[in-house]
Amino acid sequence: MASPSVVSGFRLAIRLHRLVAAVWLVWVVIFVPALLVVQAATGPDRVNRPAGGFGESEDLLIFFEIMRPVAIPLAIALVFGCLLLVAWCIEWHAGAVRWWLNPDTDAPVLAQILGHGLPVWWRFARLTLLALVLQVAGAASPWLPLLADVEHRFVLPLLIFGSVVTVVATILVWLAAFRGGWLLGEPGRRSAMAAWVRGLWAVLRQPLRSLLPLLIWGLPGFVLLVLPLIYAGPAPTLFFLASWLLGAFCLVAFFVSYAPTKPKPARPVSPLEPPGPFTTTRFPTLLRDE
Amino acid sequence: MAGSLWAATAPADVDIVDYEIDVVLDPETHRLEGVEKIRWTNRTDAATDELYFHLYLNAFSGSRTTFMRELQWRSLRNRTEGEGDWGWIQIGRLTLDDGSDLLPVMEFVRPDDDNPDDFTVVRVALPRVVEPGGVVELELEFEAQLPWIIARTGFVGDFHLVGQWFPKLAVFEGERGWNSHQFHASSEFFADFGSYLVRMTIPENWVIGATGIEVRSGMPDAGQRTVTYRAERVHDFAWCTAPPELMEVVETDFEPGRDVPMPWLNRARDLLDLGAADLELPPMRLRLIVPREQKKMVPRMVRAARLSVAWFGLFYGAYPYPQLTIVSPPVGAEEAGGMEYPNFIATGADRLDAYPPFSWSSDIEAVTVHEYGHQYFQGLLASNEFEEAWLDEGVTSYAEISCMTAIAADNLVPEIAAFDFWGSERLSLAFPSLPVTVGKKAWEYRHRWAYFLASYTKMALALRTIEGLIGPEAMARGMRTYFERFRFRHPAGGDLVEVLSETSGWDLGPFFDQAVFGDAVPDWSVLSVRHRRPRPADGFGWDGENWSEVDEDQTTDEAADESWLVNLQLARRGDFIGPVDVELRWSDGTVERRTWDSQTRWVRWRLEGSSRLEQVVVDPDVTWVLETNRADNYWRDQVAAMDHPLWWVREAIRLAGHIFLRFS
Repeated sequence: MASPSVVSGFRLAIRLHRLVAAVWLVWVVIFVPALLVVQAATGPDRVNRPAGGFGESEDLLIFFEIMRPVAIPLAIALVFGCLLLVAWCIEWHAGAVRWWLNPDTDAPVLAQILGHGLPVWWRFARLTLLALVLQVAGAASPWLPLLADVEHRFVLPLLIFGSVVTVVATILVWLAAFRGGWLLGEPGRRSAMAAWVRGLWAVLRQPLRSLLPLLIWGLPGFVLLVLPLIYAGPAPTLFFLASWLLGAFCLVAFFVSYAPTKPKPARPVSPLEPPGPFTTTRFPTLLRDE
Repeated sequence: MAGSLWAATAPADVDIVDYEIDVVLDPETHRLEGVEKIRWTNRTDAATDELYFHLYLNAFSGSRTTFMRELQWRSLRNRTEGEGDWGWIQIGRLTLDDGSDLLPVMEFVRPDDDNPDDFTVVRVALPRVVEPGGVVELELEFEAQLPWIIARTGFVGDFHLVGQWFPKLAVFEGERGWNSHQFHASSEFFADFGSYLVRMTIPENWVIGATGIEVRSGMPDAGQRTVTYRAERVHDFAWCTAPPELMEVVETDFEPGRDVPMPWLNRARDLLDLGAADLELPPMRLRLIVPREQKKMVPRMVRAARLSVAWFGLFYGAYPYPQLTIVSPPVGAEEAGGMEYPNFIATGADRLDAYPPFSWSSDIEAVTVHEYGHQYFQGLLASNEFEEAWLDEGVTSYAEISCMTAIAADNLVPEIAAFDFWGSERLSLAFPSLPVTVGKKAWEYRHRWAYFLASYTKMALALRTIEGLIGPEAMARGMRTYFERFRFRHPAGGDLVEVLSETSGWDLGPFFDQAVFGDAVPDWSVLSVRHRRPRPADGFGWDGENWSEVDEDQTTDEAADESWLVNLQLARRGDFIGPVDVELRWSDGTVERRTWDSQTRWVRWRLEGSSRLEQVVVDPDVTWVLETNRADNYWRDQVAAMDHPLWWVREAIRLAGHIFLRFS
């Protein structure tokens, strides 16, 4: 398995610009309606926020009051939206992997990527579920001793240990899944578990190189996608869209950073072409001697 | 110090029932064997020929008791019950002072629900009538099995919190007869004041804490020792014991010169208009029994206890007992926490509370303040918790939140994160879909959550609303008067209404009728605001003698052009009728306050001003904290630029933080 490369991730994301646009569009389609609902609920028609803000302990109460009528439908919509988002991410991940391993064009259109991904969608979904289970287990297990009657002197070490293990386990599990995903696209590989284990092995062998795409692309991408939602200043719609577009690019770049380097395709040889000079890879020293 | 305060502050007719109990705890079987002597004095104007006893531990005797049915559990704490998990109490002998055996005439009664599987109340027919002023002396033997810890009594491992453990006499109310109720899932207790002398035999090296003060500790004998506690002018007795490997005793004290925060003293002085001498507090002993695993939290527990003593002492009156015992249950015994008995409270802490972010939560302080508050409201003002749970829980919650707000405002516990205590209560009240009635018997609420919401939250908010209406000074004086007038008595809800009305000069009856005894919902709104310019004069005018046509050109002046007529309509959307302030803010900076009595469903105010009405706020000071629909209380002329169209995200994050701090 080749080393992850932030630069090649960037280049590949540019080649996959149509995919970036699709990732952005899906994000917009899922979250904009929810935002519109919330904005309608919290807009000036419903809340006339006075100069200087609401009175004592009013913010939370009014927030609860105006969100209450829309809370359940909104929550249902968001849950379904998030499930859809996960399914979509699995699809384009799988598609990108299969296209990269068996390219039919240099700059694939979206339909080609989706076409590559569909046949192996369930295989990648299994990998995602596996990672999810491992993540929950890895994050929860260090806290279990606290449920027992441990001595007080062990509480603080357990807290620190639990926090560290939770963070490390989360990163490790998902990096292994991302790296393993590139193996799962190879023909004949069907075991999500085997792919994840190989991915884990790759992460352990190259911890820093595996972490770099997360730091350069993954985290900024996440921030760019979420930032518009929590930015507490005047935020024009254009800012939202631009931030999300950049975030989508970062996410794609993050994932494709783990793509293996591909050998250059061999030059086609004509059967009529006269044989070239004698070459061998088995005995290179013989050639040098000549 | 011990004893002197008791005698000095209690009226002579306080003592109604005195107990002398010898009890032995078997730590293996968690069983109690006791001999109890009772001396009851009939201090009413009516005679009686019967007695009623509470046998509270029988509430845990099986899955069909009233308590367990109301709890909707089929086992204790959802455990797979094994032998010894259930609890019960049985009277083995019951004799009158003349030697007559009362056991054959003892019968179980179910005054509340006729549940044949409930055995928590017994009636004993006396062979003679007890006239007013008469005395009955009884002696009985009992055996009790402690349950796996539930409802703040029982055992977990070697930890024992022994509450409601002995046959306890109900309250005789003269012509109204005996006031006794079965043990319900959502109720606490009601009993008369008296003195207790209790000799507890426990394993020789175990620690012990109890109501009252320790007056004697016997020499160890056969691995056991007998500890004697004495308590006067109390209406219950609880105790806790555990091995020293598990629990540790921390002896400390409350020293007013050291522990009363100066801002609180000044505030009490201002609000109550009392001199320093009137606010002087006596020192008292604090005895903490804490699990060794919680040792790190002891300084915080001690500080919380001292602040509690200071707050209630300053604002309500001095604590009249020499000692307070505080028990923090160990892991697994959390069900024992959050309970009050006279001179004895069970708080609660978790090992994680010592470390951020858990340490940011104010749980340790809030629970301590609340349970200590019960030393006043129910401990000293012994209201009927069965019938008026809101009278002690609501008043205590009000005092607790006021105290916690002051602790946070004065930064007396720097560890805790900023938390809006009143806002949290208002948020809780905003949840239910149906209006909440406070004034019900404890077991008559729709469900357990409704009981908590009504008795604790809504009642506390009702008192906070009263404070806003009558002012903090009148409220502080009223509450102090209520305490001073009814300590060592059994006040009822009407007494609180009467005292607050008397001290404030307000007739608070209608308020209580709507907020407490009814389910009226306060909800006001700005219905509409319309601006228009005054129309130029037109038609005919009366010049004193004749009608003459108005000359438009002559009557239109510049002042009229610049003035505005405003038609403001306010609505009372809820059914709660009460006075509410309205703030009118004009664009020239003028701010005007008016009060609407809201007797009608809506009101129209026609206003005229030289500038536009810029903003209207109904109840701008948030006096009516009971009102939870507040979005329509605000109106602005120019739609204000919100901080951000997505301010809800910030609020959602705050809400999540709020929930974490509240429930962590």
